[in-house]
Amino acid sequence: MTLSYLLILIILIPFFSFLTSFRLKRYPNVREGVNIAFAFINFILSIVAYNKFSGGELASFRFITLNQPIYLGFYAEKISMIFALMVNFLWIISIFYSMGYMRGNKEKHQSRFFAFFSLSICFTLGIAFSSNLLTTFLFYEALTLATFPLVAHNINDENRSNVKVYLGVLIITSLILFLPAIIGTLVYLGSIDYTLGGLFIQQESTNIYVVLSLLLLFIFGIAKAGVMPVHKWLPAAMVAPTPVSALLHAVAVVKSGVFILIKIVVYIFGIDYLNVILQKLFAINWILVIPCITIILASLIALSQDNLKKMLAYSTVSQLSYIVLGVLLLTNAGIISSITNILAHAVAKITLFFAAGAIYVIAHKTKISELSGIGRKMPITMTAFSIAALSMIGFPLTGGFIAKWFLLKGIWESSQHWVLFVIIISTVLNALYFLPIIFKAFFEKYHEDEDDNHEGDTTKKSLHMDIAMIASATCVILLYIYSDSFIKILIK
Amino acid sequence: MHYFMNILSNYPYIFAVAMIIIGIYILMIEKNLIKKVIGMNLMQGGIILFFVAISKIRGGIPPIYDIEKNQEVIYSNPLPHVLMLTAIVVGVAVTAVACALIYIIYKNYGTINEAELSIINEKEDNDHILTD
Amino acid sequence: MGILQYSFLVPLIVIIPIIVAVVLVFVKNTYVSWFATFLTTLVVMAITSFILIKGQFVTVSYNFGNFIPPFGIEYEIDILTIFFLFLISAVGFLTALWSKGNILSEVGDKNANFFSSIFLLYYAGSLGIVITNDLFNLFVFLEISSIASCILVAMGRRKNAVLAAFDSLIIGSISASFYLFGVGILYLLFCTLNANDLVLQISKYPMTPTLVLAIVMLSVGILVKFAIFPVLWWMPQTYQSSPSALSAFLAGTSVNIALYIFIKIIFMVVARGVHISLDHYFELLLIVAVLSMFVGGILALKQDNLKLLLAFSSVSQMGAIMVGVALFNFYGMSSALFLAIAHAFIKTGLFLCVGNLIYMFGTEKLSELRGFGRKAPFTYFAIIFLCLSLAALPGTSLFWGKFYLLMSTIQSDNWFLIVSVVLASVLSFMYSWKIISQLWIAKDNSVHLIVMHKKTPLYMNLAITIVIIINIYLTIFPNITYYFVEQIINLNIVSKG
Repeated sequence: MTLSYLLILIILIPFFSFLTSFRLKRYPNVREGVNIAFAFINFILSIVAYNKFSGGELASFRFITLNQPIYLGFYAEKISMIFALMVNFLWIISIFYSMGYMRGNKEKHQSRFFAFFSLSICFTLGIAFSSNLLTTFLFYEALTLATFPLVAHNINDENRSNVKVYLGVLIITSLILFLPAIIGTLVYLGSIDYTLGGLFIQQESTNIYVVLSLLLLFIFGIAKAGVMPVHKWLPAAMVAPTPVSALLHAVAVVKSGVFILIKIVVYIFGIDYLNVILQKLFAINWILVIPCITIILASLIALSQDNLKKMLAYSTVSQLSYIVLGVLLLTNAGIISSITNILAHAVAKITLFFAAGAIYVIAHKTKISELSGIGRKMPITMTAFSIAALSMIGFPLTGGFIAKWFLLKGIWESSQHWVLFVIIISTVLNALYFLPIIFKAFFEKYHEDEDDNHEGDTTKKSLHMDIAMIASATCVILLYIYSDSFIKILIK
Repeated sequence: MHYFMNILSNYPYIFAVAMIIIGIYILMIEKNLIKKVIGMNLMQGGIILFFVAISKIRGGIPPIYDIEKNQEVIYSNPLPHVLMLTAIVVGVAVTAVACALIYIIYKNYGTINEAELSIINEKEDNDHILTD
Repeated sequence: MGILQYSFLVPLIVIIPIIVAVVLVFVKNTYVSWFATFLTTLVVMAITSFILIKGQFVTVSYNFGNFIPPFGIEYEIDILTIFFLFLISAVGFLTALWSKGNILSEVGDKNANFFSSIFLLYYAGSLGIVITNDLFNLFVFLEISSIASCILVAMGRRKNAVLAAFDSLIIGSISASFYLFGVGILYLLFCTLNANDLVLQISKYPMTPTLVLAIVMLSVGILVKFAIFPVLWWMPQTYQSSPSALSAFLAGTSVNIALYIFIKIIFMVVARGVHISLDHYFELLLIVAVLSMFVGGILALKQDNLKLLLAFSSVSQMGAIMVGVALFNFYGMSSALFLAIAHAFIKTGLFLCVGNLIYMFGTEKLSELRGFGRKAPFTYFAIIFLCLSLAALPGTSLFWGKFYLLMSTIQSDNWFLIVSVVLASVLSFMYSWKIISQLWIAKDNSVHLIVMHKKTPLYMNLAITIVIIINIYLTIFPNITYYFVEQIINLNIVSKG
């Protein structure tokens, strides 16, 4: 089988899973079994595809063509292969976790949940392999709509406005900023294909301000990347069940946002080209101010939150801007840090959300202030939580450290030294909101709730959730251990 | 002066345009539906007049071909007349339908004044179909 | 030789429906009259498809009474015509197929056979507008379709149907008068009524104020008839109070007919760079189009009545199409055609779905229909699919048109226009989403629904299914539409100007 067909198969398998989930409504065990089987197959297929790709095989495939520059199609490329591997791997883990969570919580409409979960994965993979901006845009919007039923899973009168914010911000920014930016690129350059080395370099005379405004349109238009004024949808999406939050914040939505941003900067603008353009304009790279502000502000807001999931959401906003920052540094080390950060943050954040969900299902606690002593009750959960939190801070021995290391290297290379202070402040802030939780969980006394009738549930442990958390927490550490070989691949 | 005379000699066009404008004015201002229909007819009349006027050619005679007459005779243009016959028929049809509708409106609402009708109409339930 | 030996088929497209319409007046059986309508539309669609496939874009014409073209009435089918002809006959076929149950629920037994008969008359009128090459003949067809549509509206069972019918009759007559006045001026200048002949004459003629007056009169007439900004109020009312079969047909075709006449006139007049002196005309058109985009969109957002909402959305879409036309470059024109074809099928489908709802529940108010999904899953999913298409999200048929529209506005470098088109697309997303959210997310209200019929008949669902399939087809194969559009624009610009 050639690589192009393999790519299509990888995208289609989650779609089959979407269809079968509806069909197998009556048999939840079979349904989830099939889901996991599909996820495994997909993971193996993406490994095979990765091997073929490293073997030098090229792939491209068009499925809808309007005319020469305007078409929808897929192709294989290094960053997207890594991204697809990550998505497929985390898909397996999150299905495991969802089984435990959804059953433990006795949620309704489980078939719908699993179906749209698979559909979101399908569209995320579509984003991963898309070969031009239009295809990316198609799957970007489709992903928003596919996650919508998940976010609106437990819709009621209180959270209806949140659901509206989620959809409104994502769709409206994409319509008024992202789409015009794509079409602007098309009109300006006559092409929207991802090209090695960037598209703009082919243009002989360029208007600097057009380039700059297109870049800004892309940064703010891709609201999924969560840069500050357009980050609002992310905390709003916290009304969803926790596995969905994990999906949104670790796997599908935010990661595809920053992934698209990386692709645009690398393959549309081109790092060298942007460097030249920006140096012409100003000595200090003022665009970096955008992610820097987001990093600091989001950390400060996270510090003031008491709701665990909300805190994690703002922490995500801040971490996403690390990735955006890495891209906008416009150096090789910066890009490597961004990709590493995507992986490190994905596994760490998914672990954190898994832990938050587990705490909710078993101990029925959602607030940080209630977590005293929970570590003794739920040692596995809280250990995983701690490992992931340390990775978020950038502690050595975790994946987060590697990402931060390369970020610092990128800052050094790009000689924008003032950014260092932002990183230091934000690291301190990260520590300030994560370490107290760990401390509280392990070293304070367990605070008995007034509603002790859940006690029966507390003793019951969910095997599915534990497996998922152990797996993802292990990955956080494995990412550090095997970082060498991984970085080698990227540098190549 | 010459310019003025030129305009005056084209008086049918002035009449036609005046009729059209008066017709539109009546259509917009009058509340009574019957008067609206009259305004509509006036407007159509203006246009018919306009067409008939453009068919006239100075020195032209009625376009009846006569084998004995000289070939160089100028005929008036017959085509607009023919067209206007059709337009008149269409106009009559429109008027008939409009009158029928006004009759039904009067039967249903008891008035043919537009202002009153809109007041009544706002209170009505128009979202559901009536059942027999 | 090829298609030219089949030129006798050309007039049949109009004549068959008219004859059947007359015969049907005397048929009292509802079933028979419905079946005859269905069959007639099928035959007409077959003829147009035959010409479309066999024709290979060759112009086919038929001269009535064997008068040679500048004299007499000529019916001509060129590539632009066949595009719209096929669209109208297809929409007509779908609504005719679907209409039986709707006639029973929204017209009533008493008028059923008249409904079929006049529906065919309206169908013939719409086809005639497109097929004729004679400007006066076009006026006659305009009046035929306006009278027929107003009678059909008056047959609706809602209380305000007669009022809406009267309004639409008056508006139709005003617009036809303006149009006729414009034709009169053109005749005064060029002594011809044949469109092709006019093109030749105009291209040799300088741009005088009289000619501009003629163009303005013609366009005012058409814009009034098809509810562009200042006179849009009558149209939603008409859509709302008429039986859904008519609303669907109107929604699918009226925008297209307007576009067709407009393109014909503009192509006719704008020959060999004459349009430079028409700049102000296009600017004015742009402003009017942008305004109707916004007014339509904002008013659509406010509606609770589903039919009114869709009607106002039609106003907004019409504005978007007009923006494309008024930009008058390649992308603008093609966006107009793309939007027109996609919008026709989406709107038809949506009105058919609303008709299904009225058939089942007797209401079209969104607030009453909340959560009807469990009772009518097919209609529910059809509405969601079509609403997503109406929102012009990527991966739907309308998106290609919106994409081209944005492309042409960005190319025109007019900031005001770019911003307004972008905002209008947000508006269109918002009102489409309003329908979805009301039916899906909002509180379930379906216990209060009065169920008149448990299920819709098979043929109604079949029609909607066909519409959906066409939409998917348009999405997946935009290159076929694109090929058509490219041909139309190139041929018209190259050969006629």
